Amino acid sequence: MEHLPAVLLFVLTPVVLLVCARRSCSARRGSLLRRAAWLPLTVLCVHALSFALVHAVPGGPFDDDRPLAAETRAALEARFGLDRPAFEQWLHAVSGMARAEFGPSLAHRDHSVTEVLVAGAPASLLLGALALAWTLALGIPFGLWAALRRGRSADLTISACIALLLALPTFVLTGLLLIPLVFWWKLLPAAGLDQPSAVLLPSLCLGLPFAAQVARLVRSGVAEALQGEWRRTLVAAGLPERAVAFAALRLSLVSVVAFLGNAAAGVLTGSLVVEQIFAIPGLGAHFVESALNRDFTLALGMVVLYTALAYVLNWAADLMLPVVDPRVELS
Amino acid sequence: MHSLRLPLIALATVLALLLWCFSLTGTAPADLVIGNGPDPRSLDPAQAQSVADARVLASLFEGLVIPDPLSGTPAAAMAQHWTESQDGLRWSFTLRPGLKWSDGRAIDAPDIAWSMLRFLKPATGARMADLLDAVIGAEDCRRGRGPASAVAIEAPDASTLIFRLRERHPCFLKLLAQFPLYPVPRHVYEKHGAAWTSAQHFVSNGPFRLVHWRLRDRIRVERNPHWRDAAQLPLGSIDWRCIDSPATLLNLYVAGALDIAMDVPLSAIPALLASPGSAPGSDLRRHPRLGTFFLRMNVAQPGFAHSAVRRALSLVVDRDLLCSQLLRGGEEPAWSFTPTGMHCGALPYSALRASPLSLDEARAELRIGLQAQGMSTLPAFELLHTTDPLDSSVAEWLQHRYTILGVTCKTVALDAQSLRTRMADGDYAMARSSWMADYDDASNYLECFESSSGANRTGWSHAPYDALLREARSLAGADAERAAKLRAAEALLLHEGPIVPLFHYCSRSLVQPYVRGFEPNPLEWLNPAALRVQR
Amino acid sequence: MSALLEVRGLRLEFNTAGRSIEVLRGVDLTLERGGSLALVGESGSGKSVTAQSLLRLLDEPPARITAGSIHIAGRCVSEGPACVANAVRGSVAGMVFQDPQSALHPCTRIGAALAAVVRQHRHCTWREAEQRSLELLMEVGLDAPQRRVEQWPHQLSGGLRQRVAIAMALAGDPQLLIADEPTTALDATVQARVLGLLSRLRAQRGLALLLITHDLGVVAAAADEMAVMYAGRIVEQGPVREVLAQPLHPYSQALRQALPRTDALPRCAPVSLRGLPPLPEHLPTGCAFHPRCSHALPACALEVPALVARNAQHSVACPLEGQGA
Repeated sequence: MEHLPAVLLFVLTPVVLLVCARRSCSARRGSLLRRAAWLPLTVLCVHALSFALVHAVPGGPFDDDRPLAAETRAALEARFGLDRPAFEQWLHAVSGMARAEFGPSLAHRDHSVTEVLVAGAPASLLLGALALAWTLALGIPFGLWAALRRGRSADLTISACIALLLALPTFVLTGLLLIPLVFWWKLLPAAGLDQPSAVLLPSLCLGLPFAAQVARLVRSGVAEALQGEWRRTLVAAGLPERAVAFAALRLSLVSVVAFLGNAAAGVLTGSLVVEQIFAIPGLGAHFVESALNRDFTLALGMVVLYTALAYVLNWAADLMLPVVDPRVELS
Repeated sequence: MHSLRLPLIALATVLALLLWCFSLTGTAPADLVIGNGPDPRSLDPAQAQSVADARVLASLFEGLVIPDPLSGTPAAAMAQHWTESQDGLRWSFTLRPGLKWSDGRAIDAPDIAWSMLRFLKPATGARMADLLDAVIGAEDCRRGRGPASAVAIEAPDASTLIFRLRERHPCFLKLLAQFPLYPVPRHVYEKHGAAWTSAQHFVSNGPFRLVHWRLRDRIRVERNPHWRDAAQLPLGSIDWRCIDSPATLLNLYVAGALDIAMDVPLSAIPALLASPGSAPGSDLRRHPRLGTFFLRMNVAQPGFAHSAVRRALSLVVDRDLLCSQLLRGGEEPAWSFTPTGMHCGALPYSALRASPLSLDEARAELRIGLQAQGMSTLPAFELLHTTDPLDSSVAEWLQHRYTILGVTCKTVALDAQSLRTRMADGDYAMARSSWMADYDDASNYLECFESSSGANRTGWSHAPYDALLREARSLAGADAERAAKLRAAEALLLHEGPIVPLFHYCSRSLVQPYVRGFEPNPLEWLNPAALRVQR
Repeated sequence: MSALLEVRGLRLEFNTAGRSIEVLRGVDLTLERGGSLALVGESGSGKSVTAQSLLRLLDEPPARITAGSIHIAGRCVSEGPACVANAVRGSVAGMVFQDPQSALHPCTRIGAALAAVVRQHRHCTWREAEQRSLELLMEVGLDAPQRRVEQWPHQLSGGLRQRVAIAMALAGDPQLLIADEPTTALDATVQARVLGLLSRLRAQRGLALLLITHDLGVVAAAADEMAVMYAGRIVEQGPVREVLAQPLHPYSQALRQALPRTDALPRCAPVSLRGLPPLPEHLPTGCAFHPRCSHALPACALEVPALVARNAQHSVACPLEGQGA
């Protein structure tokens, strides 16, 4: 009975969805159903793999500079269910996962993993969403500008900035922005999330490298799109430069949207450094810390959450593709 | 335009999400904001771990006595006064009248006795459950071999608590001031079980009570109106900022968002010291800590079995150079295992200092040690350290230093848990270690390397050393004689032992000039009830 | 009143990698309002470059007009930067290109693409522009325009796309339509329908047509006048019937020869066309056609023959003036 939700989620749902997908007459709906069916299966596979990995690494959550008495260790292991056979632990973890319960965190002992995730998610989501907003808001205009001034000084400056942003490690970039904005001009708070403006600088630091990539994509995309013969049609019909540029931009957005799925995953995993430097109460740090602390339950919770998020974000990006490029068929 | 529906829905969702997220920002500042360190492992005193955890707990709880790190003798807290029997085996504490939990419920002696027993029970999984081993029946209880009823902690009436010891302990009072022994509210614990530490149930007995805890952000505490001295408490609220990066602490401090930063990045110290007249350089407070950074050597490894080899490896390291050249944060070169400022009971303890060998002597020692083992050169060995940048640079510095002796060592960076596992398994030759004093007594340091100690991990077993420590224990109460035994033991440890002490830690904090009541001390202890702001 | 399109002595060169290559070497063209002129020649003869230079569509650089003038409806578009042509693009002269596959922006719906052009040329609301787009689509003969405006270019066949391109060219109600090989990429039946559409539009709108093609069959079907181009120059010009019936330039004769025999056109003596057209960077001296010409005189290699009027409409740039045939 304990495993019923897990069976429902990881066995029955995918099977039903796959059967529906096979029977579905519309190719679009079929692909949606198939994709939905693979989500729990993917999560389950990643969970199993991660479970094996975290239990294979040396050391446990109760190791300490101070040796723990065998009895205390046994009591702790019993309390957190680590004394049971690995397979049983895994089964327990899977059935918990189906109910969105990942058990108690081993390093944050006053919190369950679900509490830790729920506590950190808003800040991380806010940071990530704003970072993606920066990515688009900076990457697209500058990429377009560079493409339209190709070979001129504006293009060279932007291209140099792109190369620089892609090469700089996050903490250097952060320092470069932090010192003038926070310490010289005192425009923004140094860290924390006490006021809405506090999220501007971290999200900018997180988004800038991705903005550089988007600018590069747009720059080459627009330049390539302007080679298209449709351009002559528009010019000959009397449309101004501006309209032609936007039409070219429209074409370059296809590669941008395809990149966004990856960028979103990158923003999620890349938030670690930024969250640490700016003391953002998000999830990023748990990803590494839970592994270092051998906080098995939290590590698995993070892996499951991030897998599902990455899956859904890539899915969303794929769904967006036909919107920006009607030639792409959903497959 | 049905094609616009999907993006519009997505946009609306994102906007709603952003609004929700923004609604979570915004907190009015507390009277005092302290940049503390990572989130406490737990607010359950038995589960908490680090010095930073202990500072937060000290604002929420108080024990029978509280530490007074500068004098070395604990001061009265819940207990109004106490008596020790002539033989030191019976301690009787009288509680202050009118003690209350933060929910207004009265605290009586049986509550505290229950809390001590809970701490001992194996099911609690207390990290330092062996603290009370001196009490009759305590060790059996924590090992699950005896009943809790057999533990000699008794409350004959509502205001008296009696401990009976199986042997005299040199610093029993210091033990009772330790944070793991803070009292846990029985009525809440029995109602909510392990969930008693969640913010909505949490009840404590200290000067402050918990308001909320946001992970990776802050723990907000406010004045506990039921505390014994609440009327005299200067601060209405404290924010313990849970920030693990010292660089972020510095940023926040310089930007004026912190009143106290409990850590300062080592790399910033030279710049801060360069401008002692102006903030933030003038706000830097440093104090030697009761903590030692040292290397462990595994005597089972080829070549390390002979003490002369270990001595050569230890004494060729110029600690003065290490501290002045590499660390530059005020760390004190460690020529002994116990840090300076340590006590032995109530007396100051001064360790015997080893002196560096000349290079020729070191080479000679190495040669002697190797010859005794039938070797001509020391086989190349691994020096394990953590991935922490400081650790890595110290390891590389040592690697270079050992080339002077013609010894090849390879530095291997591991994460902390892997390093611990390899040390516990004896799968290492040389490894970075550290020891922080739990309480201010030299025995707390030296007992680590007794043959039977779980903290030893070097395979070093030296009968004369064990005997000296045994004798020292039997001299509890006679601090001067005990100190002599400990000093002799330490001399043995430095000469024969499996360690290379490198430096003693130094606490570094930044404190705004308007903050009063911050006394730098060797335990990095902070008395939250004494802190006040005077602008 | 001047002619709708007047090109005088147009010279144009491409500057690439430090070299300049002259591809138009003095082109003269005149097209009256409502008239139709076909510009004929092999690929590389410069006819397409001529057509694009009329609306300054070539990238400048590398292209550069070095001499001559272009006047469209009295406006000079050859002087100044390329944007001077904005005054005539779409509003006076529309243009249709060869490849309907790539001539439409792939990510714009038919309706939106048309409406954008409509709005560029007249002040109206989007709704009015959409309404006008429907009319335009109907005018170019698309069935169910209501459905078409919601479609993407890739959902249309080549013929339909070319009709949409024509509709876009007409959206600004121009007086001149420049059609650069409008039917080359289409298959034969579609080709005929598109040509029919062009004729109908000419009749209905009083539109002048400049038709660029290499296909004399298309010329015969759609144009009144024709000009034959070779190596960046007009070598023969005249009424279509006259030129096709009695080509005077050896090159025109060769082109004519390549045309399949139809009853509509009289038969003429076969002329063989040897070799390939010259590359613009390696033009022969004198008459550019002389190395391939079976009637070449020694003088042909020395001087460039001028376009000489044979009668009021028909002129030719060959000293033989058809005598060799």
